[in-house]
Amino acid sequence: MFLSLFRSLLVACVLMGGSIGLLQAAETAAPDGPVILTVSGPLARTNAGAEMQYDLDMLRAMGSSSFETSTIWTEGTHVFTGVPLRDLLMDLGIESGMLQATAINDYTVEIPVSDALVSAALVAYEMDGKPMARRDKGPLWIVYPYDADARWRSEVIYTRSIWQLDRLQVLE
Amino acid sequence: MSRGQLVMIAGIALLAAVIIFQITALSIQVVGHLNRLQSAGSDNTQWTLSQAEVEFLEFAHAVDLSSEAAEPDLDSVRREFDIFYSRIRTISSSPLYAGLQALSAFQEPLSETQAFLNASVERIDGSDTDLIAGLGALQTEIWGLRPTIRTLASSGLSYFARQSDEGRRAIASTLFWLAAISLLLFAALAWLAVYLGVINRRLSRRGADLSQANQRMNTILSTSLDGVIVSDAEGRVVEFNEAAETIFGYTAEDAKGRRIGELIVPPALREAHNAGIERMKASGERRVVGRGRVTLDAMRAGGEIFPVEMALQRAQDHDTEIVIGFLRDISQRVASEEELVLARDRAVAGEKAKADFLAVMSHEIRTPLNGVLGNLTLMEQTKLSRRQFEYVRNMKISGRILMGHVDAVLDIAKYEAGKLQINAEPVGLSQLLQDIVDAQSGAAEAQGTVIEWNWLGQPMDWAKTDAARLQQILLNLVGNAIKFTEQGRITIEAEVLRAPVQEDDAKRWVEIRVIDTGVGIPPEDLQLVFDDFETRDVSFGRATGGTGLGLSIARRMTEALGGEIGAESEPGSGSLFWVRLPLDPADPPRKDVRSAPDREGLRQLNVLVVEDNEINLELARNMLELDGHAVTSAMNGQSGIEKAGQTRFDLILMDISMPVMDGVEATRAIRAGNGPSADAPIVALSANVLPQDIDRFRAAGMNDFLGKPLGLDDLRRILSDIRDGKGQYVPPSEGAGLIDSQKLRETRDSLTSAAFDRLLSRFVTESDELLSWLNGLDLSSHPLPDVAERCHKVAGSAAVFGARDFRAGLVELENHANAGDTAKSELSIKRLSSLWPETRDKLTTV
Repeated sequence: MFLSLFRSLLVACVLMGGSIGLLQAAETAAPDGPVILTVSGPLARTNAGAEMQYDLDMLRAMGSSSFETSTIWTEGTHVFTGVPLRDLLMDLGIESGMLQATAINDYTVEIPVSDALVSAALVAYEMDGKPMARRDKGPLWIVYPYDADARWRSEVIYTRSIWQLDRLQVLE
Repeated sequence: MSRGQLVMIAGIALLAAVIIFQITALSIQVVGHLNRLQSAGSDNTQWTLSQAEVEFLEFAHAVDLSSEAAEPDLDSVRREFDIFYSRIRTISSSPLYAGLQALSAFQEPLSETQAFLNASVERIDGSDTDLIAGLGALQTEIWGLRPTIRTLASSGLSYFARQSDEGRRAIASTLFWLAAISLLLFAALAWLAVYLGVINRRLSRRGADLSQANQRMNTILSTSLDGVIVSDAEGRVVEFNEAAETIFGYTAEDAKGRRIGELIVPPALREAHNAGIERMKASGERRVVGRGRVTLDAMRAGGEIFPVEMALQRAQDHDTEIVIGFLRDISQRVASEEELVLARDRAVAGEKAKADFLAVMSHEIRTPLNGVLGNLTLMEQTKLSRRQFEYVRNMKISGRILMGHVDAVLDIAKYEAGKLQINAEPVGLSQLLQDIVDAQSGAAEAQGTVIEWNWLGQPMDWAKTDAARLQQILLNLVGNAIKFTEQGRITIEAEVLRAPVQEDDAKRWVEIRVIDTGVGIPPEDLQLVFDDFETRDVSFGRATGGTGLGLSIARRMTEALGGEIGAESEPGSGSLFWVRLPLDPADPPRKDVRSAPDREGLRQLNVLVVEDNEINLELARNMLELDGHAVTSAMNGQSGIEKAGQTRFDLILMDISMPVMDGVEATRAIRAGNGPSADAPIVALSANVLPQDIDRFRAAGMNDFLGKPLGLDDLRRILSDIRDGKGQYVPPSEGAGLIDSQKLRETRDSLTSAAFDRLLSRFVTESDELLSWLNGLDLSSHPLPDVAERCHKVAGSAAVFGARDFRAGLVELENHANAGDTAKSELSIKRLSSLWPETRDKLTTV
């Protein structure tokens, strides 16, 4: 998290230095591997037109966080590792609005940005230290530490626990 | 509040607690339900199941498209497969579907689907060519699997529908029970509220009653005429009502809180009061409290001590003990009681003074009158002219009437003073009636009236009664009849009535009627004739010399004898007076009582008359000299003793009231002396005839007494007794002097009959022993003081039993023995020996 913040600052400094006075999103390097997440909307940074595309390495590079919890959809407890959703949003300069998360099967949920910024939600890319296959809710799954707090065990949170995530769109 | 009410309220509280507990439990349950609904362990399971079918169809669609297309989109096939695979994996591994998996309708299609997926993985993951080649087969398999997927979804859906139904039902039931129990609680609380309301109303009503009762009690206390003081156990005043304020002079404010001992208990009683309070506190012992009314002294504010009537009672006031005192000021009552007692004492003293005055007056009148009558008698014996004789006789008649009046007054006085003595002895009734007729016939004849008597039916010749009193009654009646009858007839009828006085008793009612043919008595006067000082007609009464006391005396006498008296009359034709007496028949005595002495052959006696009144002395001297006796006179007791010391007299007549030395003392001296007349008969002369006087005379050693005025007949009887030898210092044996019946009765009344018998028999034994000792005694060798001492002892006992003569004899012997006179002592012993058997007989027969 500290690292990502540092990086954001660094990026901001570069942007300030590179194109002074421009408010448009800065160009960032495109992903090398397969794209597993595409973020659209008013973003601070983009790498594919107006969108920001991520491969697994890019997400990994954003630093990781992990927690162990059970879920209502799996057996036993699992250790989930991934990028905190908040970090991701802050990295992209998203501070308000509605986040529309969509899965591979086009399942869509809305998560208010304000909620996302204060939640412990993780955009997990590993379960029990292994990348998650598409057949097993991979490659990305927004998980909450359900066991840690009852507030993460509501139906809304369950609805927001979207798996096979591949798109995020920020709505004003 | 009662025990029952407390139990009920406790019960309700318990019930409410149970209900509240239930409600809490149910509420927790409801909250649980709500939490479950909120946190929704379920996710949207139905949606997931439908999604499985959707995703299966998506996969089928992708396969369909690819198999028909020239360039099959294998990525899409693979993606849709993965999505479907992931879904089924979720369904099979999620704990949400654990319950569902137990259902075979779900488990079977699931297994079939999983088998399909596992079988297809290799083909999907294989090379594109292989996949393309196998698309047709896959399509067929997918088509085969469709119903299975449908079943999977629908069975799951129905299961969850059922489960959510159950959940709803559980919530509904919980809510139902919650509502029901809440309702119950509400009902219980409502009932409790109503009940408490009722109790409250009852309590407030009771409170109102109580305050009303309190007010009433206060009104009673404040209007009570008795002082009411309430104190605590320490004796401090708690209440002090208005009457108490008035009685004691403190205000209630002053009194409250102060110690009752300092307030109203007089200093003299304070110590006892404090001790009482301590005692009550320490041991609960009460001497005054709760013992009803007590009369004590109390003290007012000003220090005045006054009597109160007081009642104390203890009571419990909450948990402290209080003492309630009711006090009444009785100083007025006590004062008026004292006044009353004083008034009564004064009245009694006045009565006594009156009686004494009457007795003395009678004495003072009788003595000179005695002189007049005596001298008239003597004058009759002298040579008188016929006219002089008439005058003397008239004077004598007047004198006797006057004497009768004085006697009547004296009788009444004696009766009122309770001194009327009844001496019952055998009386010859026929003789008595005859005597009355004989005596009164002269007076009757003077009126031209005939008088006679007779028995009706069986006569009762002898009966026990007081002859003198009966005579007095009949004389009064007959005298009265004579007075009011002229030229008529007076009949005395005596009749023994059949009815006995008491059952199994020999006593009979004897009625004696005096019937005249005189003027009669008007009915309105008939009631009054027996009253004091009642005369029929003042002028007539005066003419006939009536005092108006005759009939009232007769009434008193009759009553004294236990009888009745009455009168009937027919004005103009006559009156009938009757006397009814309870009489005991008696045997006639062997010897006729006191027959008139034969004057012939009387021995000439030597008589000493001791009398200070010259007239009376002269009278006695003349009467004695008339019968030829020798008379020596002395003017007082002292000279009487001297004369008696010089000469031997056959008889000494001794006046009682005399200057220098009275008769009693003189007699004592003569008896005690050695003179020649020491044992001579001494007869008292006295107008005082009260019984205790006679006792006094006898005790002094007198043999008999003669009432004044001195009558010749009485004098002659005494003289005849002496001539017969009976008068020798021994009282007449047949007289009442042997036993003083009144004294004997007094002794008997003051003892139980057993004690009386025991004492009497001891006295008899004592006397028997004394006499046999005395008779066997050689006085010349034996010391006389012993005799005196023993006589003295027995004399004391004799006095107790009223053995008057025997006692007098003992006293005499004692005197002689003390004087060392052996001869006289022997004489006394002889007399005692003859006296004792008679006395003993009389005593033992009563």
